[in-house]
Amino acid sequence: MKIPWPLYLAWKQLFPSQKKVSFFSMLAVVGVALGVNVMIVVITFMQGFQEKFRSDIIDAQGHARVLPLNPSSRTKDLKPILSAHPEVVGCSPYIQGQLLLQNREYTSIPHSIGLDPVTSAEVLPFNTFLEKGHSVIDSYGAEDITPVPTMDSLEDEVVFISLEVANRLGVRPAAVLRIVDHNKTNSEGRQTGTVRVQRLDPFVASAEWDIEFLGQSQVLIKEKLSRFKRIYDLTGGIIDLGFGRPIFEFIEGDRSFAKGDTFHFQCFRASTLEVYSPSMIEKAKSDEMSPPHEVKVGGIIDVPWQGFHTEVLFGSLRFMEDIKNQPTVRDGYYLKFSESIAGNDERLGNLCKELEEKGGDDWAIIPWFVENAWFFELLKFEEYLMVLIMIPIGLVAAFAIAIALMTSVLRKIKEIGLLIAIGGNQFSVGLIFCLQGFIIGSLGSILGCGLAILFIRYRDGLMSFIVEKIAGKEGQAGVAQFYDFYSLEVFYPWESTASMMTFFSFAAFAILVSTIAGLLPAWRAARLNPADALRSE
Amino acid sequence: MHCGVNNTTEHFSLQAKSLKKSFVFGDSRLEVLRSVNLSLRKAESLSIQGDSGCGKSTLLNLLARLEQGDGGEIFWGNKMMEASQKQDAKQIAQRGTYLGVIYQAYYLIPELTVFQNVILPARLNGSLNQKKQERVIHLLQKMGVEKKANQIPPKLSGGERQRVAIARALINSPEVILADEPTGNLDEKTGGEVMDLLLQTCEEEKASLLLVTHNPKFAKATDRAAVLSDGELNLIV
Repeated sequence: MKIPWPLYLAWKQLFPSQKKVSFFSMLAVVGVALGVNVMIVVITFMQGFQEKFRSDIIDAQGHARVLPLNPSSRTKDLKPILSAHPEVVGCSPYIQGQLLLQNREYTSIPHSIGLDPVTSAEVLPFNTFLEKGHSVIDSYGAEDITPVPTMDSLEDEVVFISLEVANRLGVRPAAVLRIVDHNKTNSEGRQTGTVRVQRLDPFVASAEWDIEFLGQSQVLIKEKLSRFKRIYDLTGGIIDLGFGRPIFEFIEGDRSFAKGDTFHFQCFRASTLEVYSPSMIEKAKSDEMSPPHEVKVGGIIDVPWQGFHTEVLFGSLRFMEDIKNQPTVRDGYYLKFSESIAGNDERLGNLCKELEEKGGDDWAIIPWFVENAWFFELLKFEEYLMVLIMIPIGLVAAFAIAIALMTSVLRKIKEIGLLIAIGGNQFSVGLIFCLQGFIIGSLGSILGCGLAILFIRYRDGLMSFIVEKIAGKEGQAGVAQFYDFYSLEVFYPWESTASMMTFFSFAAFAILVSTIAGLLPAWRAARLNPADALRSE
Repeated sequence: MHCGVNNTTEHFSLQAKSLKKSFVFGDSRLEVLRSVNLSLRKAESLSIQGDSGCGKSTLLNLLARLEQGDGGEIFWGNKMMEASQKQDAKQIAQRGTYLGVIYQAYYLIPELTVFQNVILPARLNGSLNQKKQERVIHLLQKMGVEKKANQIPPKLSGGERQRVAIARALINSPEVILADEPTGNLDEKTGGEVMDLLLQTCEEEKASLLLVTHNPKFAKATDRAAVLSDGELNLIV
């Protein structure tokens, strides 16, 4: 293939024969690459933040919330109307308000939400919140095998609270430690059979449980305090001891159990909270004292987007109805739509309007992006600000390229004269310098995009290294909790259109700016009088 | 400007008639070429001598149409051009094939190898092909620098560089070679070798040679010799 000679000479001036690469080319390409890399990384991370907040918000409140416009409308049941629409894949009512919690002399007034245990799973990934909130107890010589609680535990006398509430009140959910795990079939390199707790009832009592194998498939289970003692046959691998007791699961390894294998567990009961509603406090003022509701702490939840360090309580819908003494009242509904609607903000907005009309004038249906518009506008503003701040970086690189190419024109003035003398036209000679800018921009962009992909790929390790250097090991946990860097989802260009556009835009910007940087030297070269150029000293 | 066939130019490769050129420095005007007349036959060699600054290089630049003159006519074969007119795209393209240029300072592109430097004029006029590549090897062999084909110019001696420059001037088989003091940067022995090679090759290639030199010995070696003085060219042989 015949390469146009201006392109050939431009390439050769940047990458001379026998030298592979000139110092100027290397510096220029690396300079552009670093600029492109920084711009892409910052913006893709900003987009990652936006995406994370978007998914957190949707996880915490669904694609839209149905809100009453006046107190009377709260008694109207909208669920049948909303659920009837084919695009609505989940609709769950909620009741909310402030409740006073007390444990001994400690009190807390968390924002409390009552959910329907059945339908809320269609809208909110509640079990994920419980998984995130679950933390293992550090214990010497024992292993915390407390199973992660699930939404199934959300009964009328059970609540889930945020870590901030638990810490303020000094309460915790039920826990179980495995003190002894003695399997006589132990042999090196083989997985031996073990016993774990499959489910820990929030109403489990504090107790010490012993399991002794009488044979390969027969166990004796006993508890000292309650004098519980019973022999069970191991069929199905599960033994449910009934209400208030753990459910044990027997997991056979490579070597099964044998007579004499013993396991010892210690259960800690869940804390009990006293709950007061504002109406109860009102009654107390008029000397009508009613006893507080007593509830068990079912688990610790970590709900995204409830804000950091906020005090939140989740109970069942009926629990909130009872405590507020307002049956059939709904404070709103969480809605979840099909993927085709959820992925398009415009369609989502239109559907919300359509459903709003069906519900009458008493309810408003607010999509997530409208309810949190201020926040996303702020993030967008930050993104634009970042771009504005970073554009001068690109321009500085362009000036550097322009100066270097201009110097090159002066240095090669006689060669320019010669090229014209041997048949090159002035436009093509000028083009050599413009193309050098283009090549630097193109190679810098490719390298910059490559670096950005590497940065995205190894972001966790890099951030961990940087944060540890700046904030130390202790600070690392705090930064991770606050910024959530370590779980930040940043998209590669082949995974998201927005990311692809970011990569493409900044690469195109760098190529354009570098090419423009080559224009002035090119113009200078093209205007040179060949005879003067050859005569110059 | 008008271009046309001049019957009187049939046997000439290069001609100049009443060529004028002056330079303006502030208020003063220096007339370098008053009325230069020159005719170079096909395959003929002509040397031009003269004092420094008398306008020898300017004459070569005018003949190559690298700058505009104040008046007069230039003929490349039978193609006539007004010296005072700006060159057009056709002339620029033709320059690469009709003329070969050699300078005192070689002007090789340092980023290209010897081979790439020699083939560059063919690349510039779009005639890069296998034949041209073979011709590069042939010319380098003739110049005795074929072993340096893959070297870059900074690694060559002055004599070798000028031999490469001669090969480059000949790559497109031009009708005329304009050589501006080609031995000026070389010692006498090397200069003599290069000059012998240049004259011999031009003869073999049947190219006319217009040689600007300060060396009377080299001037004598050409078919005809002239002196540029007071802005006029006078034949001495």
